[in-house]
Amino acid sequence: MRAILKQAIANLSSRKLQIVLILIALTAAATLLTLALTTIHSTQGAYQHLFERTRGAHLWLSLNPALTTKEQIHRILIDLPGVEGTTPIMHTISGTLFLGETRLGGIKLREWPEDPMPIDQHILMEGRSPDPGERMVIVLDRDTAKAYNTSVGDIIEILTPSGRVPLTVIGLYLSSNICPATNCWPPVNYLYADAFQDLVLSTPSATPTGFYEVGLRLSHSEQLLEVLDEVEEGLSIEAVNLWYSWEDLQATADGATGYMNTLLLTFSIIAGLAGLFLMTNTISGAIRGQLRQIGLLKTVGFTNPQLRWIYTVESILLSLVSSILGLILGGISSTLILSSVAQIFGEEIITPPLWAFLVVPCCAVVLAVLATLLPARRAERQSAVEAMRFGPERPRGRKMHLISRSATLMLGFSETFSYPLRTLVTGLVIGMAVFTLTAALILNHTFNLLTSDPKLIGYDEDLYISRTGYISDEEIRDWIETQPEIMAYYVERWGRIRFEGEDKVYYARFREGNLSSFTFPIIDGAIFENDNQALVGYGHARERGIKVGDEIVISIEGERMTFKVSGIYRENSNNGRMLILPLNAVRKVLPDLEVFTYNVKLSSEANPKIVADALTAETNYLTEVTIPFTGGLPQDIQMAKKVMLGLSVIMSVIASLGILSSLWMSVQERQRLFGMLKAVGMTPKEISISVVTGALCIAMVTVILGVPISIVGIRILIDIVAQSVGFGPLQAPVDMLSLVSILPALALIAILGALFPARHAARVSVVDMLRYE
Amino acid sequence: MECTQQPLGLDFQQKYIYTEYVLHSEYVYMLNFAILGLLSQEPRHGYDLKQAFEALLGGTWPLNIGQVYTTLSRLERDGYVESLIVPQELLPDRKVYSLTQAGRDQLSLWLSEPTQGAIRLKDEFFIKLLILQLTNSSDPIALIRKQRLATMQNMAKLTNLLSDPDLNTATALIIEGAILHVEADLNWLDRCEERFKEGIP
Amino acid sequence: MNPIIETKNLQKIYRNNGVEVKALRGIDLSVAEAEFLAVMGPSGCGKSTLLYLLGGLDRPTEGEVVVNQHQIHLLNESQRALLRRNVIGFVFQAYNLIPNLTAADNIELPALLAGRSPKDARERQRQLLQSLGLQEKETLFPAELSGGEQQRVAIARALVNQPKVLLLDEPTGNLDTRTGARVMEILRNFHVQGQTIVLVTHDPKVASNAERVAFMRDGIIEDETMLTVPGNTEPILSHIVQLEL
Repeated sequence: MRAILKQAIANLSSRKLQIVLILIALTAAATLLTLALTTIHSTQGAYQHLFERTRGAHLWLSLNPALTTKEQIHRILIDLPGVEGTTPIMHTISGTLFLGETRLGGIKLREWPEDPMPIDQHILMEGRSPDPGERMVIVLDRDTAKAYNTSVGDIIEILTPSGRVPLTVIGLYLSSNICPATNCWPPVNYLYADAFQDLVLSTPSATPTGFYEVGLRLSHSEQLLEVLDEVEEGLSIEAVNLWYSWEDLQATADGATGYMNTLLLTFSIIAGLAGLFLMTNTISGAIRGQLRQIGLLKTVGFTNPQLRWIYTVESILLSLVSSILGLILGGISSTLILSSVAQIFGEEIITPPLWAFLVVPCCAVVLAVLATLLPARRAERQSAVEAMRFGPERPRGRKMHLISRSATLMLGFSETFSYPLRTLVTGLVIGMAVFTLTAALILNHTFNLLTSDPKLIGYDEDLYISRTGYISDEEIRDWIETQPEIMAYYVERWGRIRFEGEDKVYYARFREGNLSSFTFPIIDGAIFENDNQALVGYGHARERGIKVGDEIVISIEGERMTFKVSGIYRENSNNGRMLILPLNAVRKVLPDLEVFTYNVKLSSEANPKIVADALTAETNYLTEVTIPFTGGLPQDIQMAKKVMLGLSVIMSVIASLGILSSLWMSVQERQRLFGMLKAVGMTPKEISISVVTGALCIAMVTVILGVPISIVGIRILIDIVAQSVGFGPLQAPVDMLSLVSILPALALIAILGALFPARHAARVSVVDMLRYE
Repeated sequence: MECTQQPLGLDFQQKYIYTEYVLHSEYVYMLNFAILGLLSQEPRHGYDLKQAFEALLGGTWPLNIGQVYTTLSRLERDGYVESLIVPQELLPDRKVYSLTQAGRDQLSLWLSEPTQGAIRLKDEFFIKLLILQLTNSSDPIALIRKQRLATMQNMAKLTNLLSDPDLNTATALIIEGAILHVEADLNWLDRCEERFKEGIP
Repeated sequence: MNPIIETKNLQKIYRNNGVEVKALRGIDLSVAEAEFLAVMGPSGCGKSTLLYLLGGLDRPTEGEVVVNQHQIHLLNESQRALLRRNVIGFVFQAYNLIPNLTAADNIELPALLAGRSPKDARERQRQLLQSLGLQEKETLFPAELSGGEQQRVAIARALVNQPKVLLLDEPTGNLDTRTGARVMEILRNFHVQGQTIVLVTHDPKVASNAERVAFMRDGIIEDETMLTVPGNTEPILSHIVQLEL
């Protein structure tokens, strides 16, 4: 065994340049893998950590204050089996915040519970909690504060029946009730209980607003549904407006970094493949150059398995070294890159999980063994006698033919095809880069398209108007109907539904209005034409196998209703698991249903901002007007773009290295040929051009073949991902113009990789090569 | 010189005359100069010359004393050598030979000129080298170099002959054989030069 | 009449692991147009080095090399390569044919490099193969040819661009006597047609085909002589003798 190790090390030290190249490629792959594993671990692990730290609630209930009282709720909850503890029963309401003249937006306000809370503890990130009796203060959710650029000490205003009231921000808090993504329940912000009562609860409308919320921590989290049943039995089903579980929050947390994980994992596999191909090429090239030595080893007594071992050991040594380097680099970079993720969970840094220290080297070793498999076979097949044959050099590779006038080009082309297997493998390495670049371009384009044309994801509305309880439905409608810029509108109200026989509550949109003037993202079928039809979101359709024309039976507030599915549409929220029902149909069950949201379509010349400002001024800020998609790209898409850019750069470097390695080998093998050509009159410049031509040849062929294949593959992947998140089938757009730019990009990569070998080839000394000794 | 011309049983061609010299005549030619050379050291009588010659050649070439006297008288007749009668007590008178100026000139000429035309070089050239060393009269290396040039010229002539497309097979073979001999001679000249440079006689 | 090749005090020093080796110690050589010169010497005397310098394959340490009025010692590698395309043809002892090109392609290569049209190149290649007696071997690869055939292809390759000067390094070194003789005959024919030829060899039989021979030893030219001495028509065969001692 020692002999094998010795030989392996000797082999390695004779090929220093190639070793370095392989190390770089493999370390890149290992780093990416480490990052991916860390990211995966961090989202689950970190959230879990936060959840346990804060003794989070497994089950959150939102209860209707009109149908129950705090005392009633308390009574039920106290005796519930399986409940470890509960939060206080808190009153929560929707409100509007202002900062100076700027309307910050809608938020939830809740009374600040007593300290310390046994369940769902709040971690004060900055500032302090309200003192007893403090009224004009507010504790903001940390992410809300960040989103609205507010900090401790700022004065913000809330809207009360008597106008806007200033409050000082005294603290920022974090709890396991996180909301890192844009698509979730609005975050909760806290006022002191008394202030809450005075400022917010005294409204002019007769109906009590808001709802009671309580969080339950279970001793056995699997018993969630049983506990829920008990609650509903004790109170009544209607009293429970909605409930959500900690798993929903976990999913939200996961969603934030969900596709980061996918991206990193996918591309660490791709980089790993590239590293694999690179190693295979290099090893087989090395073996080819060492045939004589192999023959020698055989005569000295090395058996075939031992020979195979030499090369396997070489590769394993290399990949272990690079896995260690990758772990270190991955650890460092995850600390930097994932710091924003860490902050979401209130962690300081994120480090790779312990099991990654096992997984990464294991993957590396497996990779090494795979890479050596084929080439080592060839070493075995080498006959000892054959290798020791003394005589003039055998012509290597295939025969060339002078196919063109330019000998320079001919040389370049011939190199590409003289060792087809090696060319193929190099092509695969480059192909990985082509795939990455294509993916980056397509994803980039898809993101841009989706965010610039909201219609594609289902937003055809120019304005969303949402009224508070302080202004009436008629007033808004009057205003809307008198605006010449408003072409059409419909009203929407969210409600809860259950499918027949199920407990889980889903949301549905109830709509009414000039629906035909809007383009809804209907994938299949059409908008409903009468009150007996409904639109089903793609998420539901996929899960339940619902098709156009099917009948669905749902219950709203306990009432059973049947609808015929008129169409399936692309739903962005709740993983596509929603319905659109005609408001009129729902009125049969809920006659007093009020609408608070008006979705408006403007004429093409109208400026949404002007109209929005007009309405806001007109109603004295008692409405909230939102212009969709004015915030620029959402943060996670920006992050994804950066990640794709980074990956493109890494894969391009690997591709360049692949070319460098492959060309270096071939130049070393062809030194004599270069000497001969120089003797015959080829200038050094022509020789280096021929080398670079060879590289360009491979690169161009790879691009021409690889780009269409990548496009097809990536579009399929995007479609699959879109469907699995309930978005519905998505045909990623193909921008031919930008994709054509991959050609020069890869040409550049090829040339960069070829520079060094080309220079070396040009410097071959004729005299040294051809001197007859 | 007496010579016997014998056709060798080969085709006669006008351009070439094949002759075969009897051992005798060439032999005699070389002996002339050997004697001149020995006499240039000191005057000697006939028997003395025979002994000196044989010693010079390490006993490989035993001389007939009659040949010596014949050569001496011919040389005297041609004026290269003169003789003196030295009376001796108890023994018959002895003729002692010495070089004339003409003889010296002829010797110098011979010593400085490469051997032209001869195929079996080493015999005459060898003797020339030996005498040269003996008399210390000039640098053997220079002679070797000159000889080489001359031999090359011979080689060139032979090669030229060989390039004739109408050449008869047997003739070609003779020529090739000669070429190989000349090549051997050139190798020997290289060897001589090496040795003389090293200083081993 | 200007000599087509001229060297002045040509010197070449190699450095081998810190040890200096003086391969050429001041060569003054002159070759006239259409002359056939052979440079003879034992191995290690520097004759190959001299040839490489004449062919622009290497640069002198000191001294001048002028070929067809080109001052080679002043040219850079690219310029020298161009010279080897158009002015100088080089034939190596080991032929150094490109193994994965056919004989025909090997010959055409320098022509294509020099920018001639493929048609011209092919035409010239055919001519040369014809005159060298290799017509049927066009499509064979070097490994399929005998030593003599390979050498003839190498000569054809060197001549394809009608160089002013043909340089040969031990052209028959790897051949048996008979094949070697045939190759020399070819060279003589080209010489008769006006080609300037310089060859180096250790074999006197080869050198004797030239018009003039220069003897090299230890990096300098010791002696020179014309081989075809005019007027010396004495039949040499009159001296062929069977001597038996």
